[in-house]
Amino acid sequence: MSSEAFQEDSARGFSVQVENHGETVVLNVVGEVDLVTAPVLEESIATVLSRRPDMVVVDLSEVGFLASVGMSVLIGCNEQAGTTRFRLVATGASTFRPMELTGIAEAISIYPTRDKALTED
Amino acid sequence: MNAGQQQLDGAQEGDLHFRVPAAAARLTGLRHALTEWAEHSGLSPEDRDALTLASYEAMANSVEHAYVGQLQGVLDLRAVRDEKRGRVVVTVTDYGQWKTPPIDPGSRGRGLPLIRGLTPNATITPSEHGTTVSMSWPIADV
Repeated sequence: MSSEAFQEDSARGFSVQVENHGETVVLNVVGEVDLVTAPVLEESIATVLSRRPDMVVVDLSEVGFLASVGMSVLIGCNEQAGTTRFRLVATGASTFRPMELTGIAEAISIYPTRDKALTED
Repeated sequence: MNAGQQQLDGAQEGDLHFRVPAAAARLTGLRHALTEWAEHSGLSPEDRDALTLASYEAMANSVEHAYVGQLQGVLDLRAVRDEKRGRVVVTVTDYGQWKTPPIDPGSRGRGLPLIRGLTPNATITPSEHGTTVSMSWPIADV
């Protein structure tokens, strides 16, 4: 497994760790996704998608706050994924509920755990 | 409190009132201050999360839309525990121009629907002097 990290000074405490598992890439997002950090998330996912892996899993388990700007990033990336399967890991009040309220949960495949996201068809 | 944020005089004890430049970088500290304040507000944990997110969305709206093409303005964030009516009220006010959301907001424009989904009571009052978004949640322990 190789990994790299995208981080910006202006978004202290926020990081996206990219883990390559063969043809699947997992992005482990840590911190809060808001107006300041959403562009970092967008750049990270876009970079990974440009390599056209079979599957990209964006794990939001360690995200404590997800603003609508972050949801827009996720929707945009899902639309750009093309043949790459694009999946999210999210549960609970800080990430899943807001995505449910905005209808995103119906547009993107969301799984409660990383294991499920990686193993389900 | 972040440096440069102003806790205004005139706010009642226990209320929260900040006036900051309407800039994205300022909203993070404001959100954290609001989260901390809400812990003692009597709201349920679920409503506290809703309050934090809805308030952030209202402030983000001001930052992104209110002062387009103008000198950067300020926004006011107020949070009040209204004992009499058994509710917590948050208002976000800017002094820019209200932008009517386009019919198809595309990938943006999820803020207002999200606010409406997060609070049973959202009122958006545009005027020529700016926009006020008022939101309230019932206090659980009354």
